[in-house]
Amino acid sequence: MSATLPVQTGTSAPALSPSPMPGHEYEQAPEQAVNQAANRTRTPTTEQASARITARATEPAVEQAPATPSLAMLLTLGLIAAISGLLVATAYEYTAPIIAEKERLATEAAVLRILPGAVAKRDFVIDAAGRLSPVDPAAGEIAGGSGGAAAAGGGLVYAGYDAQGRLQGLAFTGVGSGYSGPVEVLFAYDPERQLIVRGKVLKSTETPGFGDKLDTDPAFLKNLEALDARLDATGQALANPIVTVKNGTETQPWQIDAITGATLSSRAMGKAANQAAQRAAPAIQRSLALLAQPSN
Amino acid sequence: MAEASQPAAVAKAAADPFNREENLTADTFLRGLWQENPVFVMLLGMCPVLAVTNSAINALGMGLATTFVLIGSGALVSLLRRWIPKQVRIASYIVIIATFVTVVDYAIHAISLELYASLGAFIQLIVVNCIILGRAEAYASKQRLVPTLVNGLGMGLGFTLALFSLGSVREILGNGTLFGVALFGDSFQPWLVMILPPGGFFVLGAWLLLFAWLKQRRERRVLASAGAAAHG
Repeated sequence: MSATLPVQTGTSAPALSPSPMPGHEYEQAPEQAVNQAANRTRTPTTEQASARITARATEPAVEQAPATPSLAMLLTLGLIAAISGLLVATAYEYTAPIIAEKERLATEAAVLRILPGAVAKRDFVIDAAGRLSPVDPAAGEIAGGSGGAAAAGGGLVYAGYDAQGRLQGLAFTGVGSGYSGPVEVLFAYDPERQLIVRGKVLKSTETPGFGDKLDTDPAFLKNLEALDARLDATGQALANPIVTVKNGTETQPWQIDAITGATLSSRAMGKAANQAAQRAAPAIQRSLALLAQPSN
Repeated sequence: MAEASQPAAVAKAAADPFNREENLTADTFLRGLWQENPVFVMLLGMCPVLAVTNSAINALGMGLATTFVLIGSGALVSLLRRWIPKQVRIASYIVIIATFVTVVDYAIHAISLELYASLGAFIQLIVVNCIILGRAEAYASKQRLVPTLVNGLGMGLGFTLALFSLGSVREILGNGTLFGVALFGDSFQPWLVMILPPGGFFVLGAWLLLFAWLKQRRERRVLASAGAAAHG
């Protein structure tokens, strides 16, 4: 910390007088630091360093204050750590339920927004057998951990139902790496026609003004209105992987026409759509019967 | 007010260099806002200043979070100042600061998911903001509780003010909005570079230029009036 700061008072103080600010804590700070170092460090480990500093200060060693015993240091640090732990634990206890509730509401709002007509949602995970299995809503709410673990393994599949309990569509997330980081997109999927019908960027660090066109450019959003996500004959993967092609060269329903000037971000959308559909579409098609049951 | 307390403070400091407690004055609070503004005068904490001021709300959120940490950590350091041995003081301060940063991190997450997402890692990075450790070492560790609280509030608001002056200008120029409200018509072509990283340097430079110019002008005026007085 500099000892001389370009501090200037307002018009009240005479600007020409070099008098220090009243109670200015930076004045004398350096000498004090040296004095402290010379006077207070008397523990065996710092004996040499202390001696060197004293020698450099060219000042005969005055009678010192007794060294701080290690026990005092340990006690202080222990006490501070205890206070710290108490404060952090209290804050966590208080905020954790609020955060979990807000995140749940945010996810629900996003899912219902992307599935027009849906008023309720059910959450599913893709199990080891490649089928959907419902997530117990109560368990999902309490244990943010289990939801988090499922998300890490590829994320949940959300099914949206209308007021009569009819399936309106499915939503799932996909991630693709873009120009400056991962782009996370929530896709809406129509199980009957096997199409991706909408996409909404949830999280991205793409350049403002270029990469954020993924969510605003009308021509680009048209790509996502009927994106082919048909399964191949085995039902294990997409018949045609979803890819992003150069602007103006789209010829197939499974291709995404890139935005000029945001090619890498557009490719991220393609990668996200492909990854999400490859993961979720086979499981959804295998579990249509389960999905068709009205929620209860 | 500041002038009145000067002799006493100086005498006290001269008598005992280790006891430099200052009395609570308006200056305790105002220093941080203006004369020792952490950003525009001391040029401390440049990392959040440049990184999260791409919108007014981000700047405000970051500034208030830092203010909270400044006040909270200052209070604890000031209360414990007589018990913290000099050898472990930095470690103690860092633990105290980290505690309050964690608390504010949870609080922002609970208040607004959007703000939490847009501030990203910079909330956690308040731990290493040199303004806060600087305050703990240079002020809170030597002063009584109340002046520390007031000084921390002043410094924090000064930091918030500085962040907001960058954030609002950058958002208006770079996005045509303030707090997300569009200010211009559709014909406005946003000056995108202002919300990109270079814009932070441009706007900070422009503010520093303005303050340096104001200061020089004031000094010239004082000189001129002093000269006139001498001749008159």
